[in-house]
Amino acid sequence: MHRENRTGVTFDAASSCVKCGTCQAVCPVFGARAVESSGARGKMALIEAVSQTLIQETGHYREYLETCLLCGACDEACPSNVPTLDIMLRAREKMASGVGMKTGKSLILNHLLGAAKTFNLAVRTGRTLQGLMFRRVPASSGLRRRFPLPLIAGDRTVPKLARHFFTDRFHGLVMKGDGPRVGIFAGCMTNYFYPEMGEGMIGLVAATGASVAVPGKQVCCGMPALTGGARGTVRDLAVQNLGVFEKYELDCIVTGCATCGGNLKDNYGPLLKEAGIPEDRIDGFVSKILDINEFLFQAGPAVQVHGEKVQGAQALKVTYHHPCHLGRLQEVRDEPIALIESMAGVQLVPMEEADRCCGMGGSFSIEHYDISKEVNDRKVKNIVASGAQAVVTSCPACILHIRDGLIRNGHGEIEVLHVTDLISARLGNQRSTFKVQGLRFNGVKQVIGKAGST
Amino acid sequence: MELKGLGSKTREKIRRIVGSDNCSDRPEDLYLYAFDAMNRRFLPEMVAHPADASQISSILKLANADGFPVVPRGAGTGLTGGSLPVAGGLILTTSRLNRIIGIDRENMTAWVESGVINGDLQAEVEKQSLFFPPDPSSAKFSTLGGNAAENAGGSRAVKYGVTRDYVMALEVVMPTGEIIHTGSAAMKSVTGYDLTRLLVGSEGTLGVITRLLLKLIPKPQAVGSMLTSFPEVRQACMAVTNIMTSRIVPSTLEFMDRSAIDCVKDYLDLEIPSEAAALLLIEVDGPPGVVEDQVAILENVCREAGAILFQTASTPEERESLWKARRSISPAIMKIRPLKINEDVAVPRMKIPDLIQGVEEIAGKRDVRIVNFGHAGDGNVHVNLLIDPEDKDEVARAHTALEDLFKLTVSLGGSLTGEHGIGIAKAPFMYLEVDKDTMDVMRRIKRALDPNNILNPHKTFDYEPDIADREIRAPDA
Repeated sequence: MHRENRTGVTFDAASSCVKCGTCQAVCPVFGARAVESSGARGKMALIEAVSQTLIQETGHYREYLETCLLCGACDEACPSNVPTLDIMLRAREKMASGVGMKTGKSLILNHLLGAAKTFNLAVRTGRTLQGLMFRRVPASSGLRRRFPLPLIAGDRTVPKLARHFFTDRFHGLVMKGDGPRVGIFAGCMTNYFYPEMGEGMIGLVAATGASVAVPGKQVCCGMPALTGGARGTVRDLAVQNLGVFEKYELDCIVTGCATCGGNLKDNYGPLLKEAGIPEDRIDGFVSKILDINEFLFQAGPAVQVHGEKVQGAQALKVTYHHPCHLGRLQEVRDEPIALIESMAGVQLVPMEEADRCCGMGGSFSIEHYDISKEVNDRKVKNIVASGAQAVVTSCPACILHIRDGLIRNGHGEIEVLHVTDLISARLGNQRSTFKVQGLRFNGVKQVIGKAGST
Repeated sequence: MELKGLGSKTREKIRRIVGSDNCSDRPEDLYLYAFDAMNRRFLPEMVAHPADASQISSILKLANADGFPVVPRGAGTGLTGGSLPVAGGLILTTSRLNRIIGIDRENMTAWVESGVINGDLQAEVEKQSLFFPPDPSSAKFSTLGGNAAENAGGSRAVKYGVTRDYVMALEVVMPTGEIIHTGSAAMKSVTGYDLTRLLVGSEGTLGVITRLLLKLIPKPQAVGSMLTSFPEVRQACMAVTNIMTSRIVPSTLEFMDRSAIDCVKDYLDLEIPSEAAALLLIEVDGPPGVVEDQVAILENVCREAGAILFQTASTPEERESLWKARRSISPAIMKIRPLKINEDVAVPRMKIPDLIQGVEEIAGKRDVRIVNFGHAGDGNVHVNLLIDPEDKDEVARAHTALEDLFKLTVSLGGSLTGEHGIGIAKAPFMYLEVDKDTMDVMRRIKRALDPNNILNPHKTFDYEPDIADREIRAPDA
């Protein structure tokens, strides 16, 4: 992907699209719908027409602009290097500031998400109520809806909100090691739905000998607001996160969420600059962001699962799904593959279209679940065809959506794991190599001290 | 009959035929179907996505009764404006005719609906060790119906021919609404006029193709890829001639001139000698042992012609890195100028050196940057004029250069278009190649089949110079 300096991308850049149609071959939404409004070329045509004041930003323009997973496949495939992804974001921003967002969405993105305490409270309330609203589905830990809810489709399986949120449990945690000082950026999905994944991540980072810190007052990275056009909200969140992480004097900041990582690496620079933060402080934050795969790959043998490589029936057969925001946005493709391939007892089997979007796209899957499902079905078909017992990926959002798709298609027996889940589980079987200062795999015991402003 | 705009009653009838979910006249949707890959804009009055031939038939009968133009559209990836609604009216897409009806492995044929993407069919038949050779560079996103309507070519044409050579039979809705069936499933059939050949390449002016019976061949077992360069264009052309007379027919024989090489140099994984003035990308296919032998023979042929580089690929990754030279041209030339006019003139193979030399002279005389690459094996060269649309003087010079190019091509016994079609892009120059009486026969055929001129009017020989006035432009700021 050609992601060199795109901060200057404007809405008008849409006119540089020559309408060749290459993007349609890779667009997951076009694959499901095959109408011009679903592909990048069509969207560029509409954005161009708006910028030339030929059409208004109302009515179907809004709907069409929202019918995009922001997976970036078009951006990567474009022979004319049109920065479609950035143009889309700019267009959504312009639309949000002009004709405005839908009321509910605006409330969440402009007010709730920006106010960490209120947002946390809202999610907590959700956790209390979820028993009433969802019924358990067999063969999975996910939930299916019991009563009609405005946001979530009736046939959709969503995971339970965790009993204890990640940041509640590890708020301000600092573990001293001999290695670099590593901060953990959890992200909302890990925090509210998959805290055990975050916990595994702490264990793995600690296993490399690094010091680990979980800055307590970290907030949402802001991606849902950015894709919804609420740039102001994201700017505020970026400033908050910068302030929280700065206090820990970290060598690097690691996240296990592809989307958060992509946002922190790509968008925080320009956003913090807009907020008037000096260059050196911005650089001190943004340049330290690493995806957990990059970190573990660099860490090397400490987190390797040793032993004999086996094939066939003895091996755990896994396949890998490249999250769009990790593979395409961050160009982190080889690291997770190398980590999985190096593991004893695990056989990586290829999957067709491994880097095609799973159909999640954040709020897209809520607003357009019908399309989201169709895109997901194609992913499920490819997973099943690979013959894998588990699909490994590196983004909690993909995990949620792929699990939903597998269950919906009657393949709940196929496990969906984060790379760190897989490594942690395999290392857990080899406790001798996975012993860090008395750290238990299923619960961090070694809390040496708390630091930061908490 | 005078064609009119779509009245509200007519619109209602169209809604009733295709269902209101499958048509629209909202401004957003009209802008979505105002363009194709020629990248000019003409606003239709309505867009419809019919489900089958019978709905298309009803629409065309209505068009004749109520008097409005109908423009068939596959994926809208044509480069000459074939699917632009230059006279307004209805855009009729084949996006819902997207089923591969059946692949007959024993008879090596496939029935498809016209909206199926070429690349999807290729992938499907290759699973059964079959092969659909027509492979335009838009294969992954263009439809088979569109490929047939434009008689698309591609880089495999040198060995396997073009789309027309693989269409055995068609289901077509005529401009007057009758659903007809041309050709036969039998390999040999000479019953009646060859309407299949008339319709293939008719650019959507004589009928709407709804189904195609396509010929398949066995999938070649192995492919050998080579990249070679020469210090002089003349030597590369000599190599092309010697290859073609060496009793080996390459499946790909692509050419790039110095300006194209200069463009892509930075993109490549391999070092191209600085004195390289021409580059050939060659592929042979067949049984593995044969491919190996042929690669060895072609290396000799190229070296004898003066090759200064000869690189082969043995893995798919290496093959990809050789193809990168060809595939990088488009993004690379976008960095020089924002717009390219991509022409696809074709000359008898032996005339390529004269064509390239002539183009260089035109580029110098008209002061326009021109990059040449293309299908050397079949004489089809992509002459790309690079322009900045903001620079009005450069645009004007490019248009003069274009006219020079077409005159040069015809003087060499060549053709204005090898694979993109005439559309509106080349219509003003068609007279250079087709004499008056021949053009008149085409007009008579059109009039006989489409008496009210409702299907894709003002294309090819029916060109009207003032259609440019209908083009959508940005309002002055």
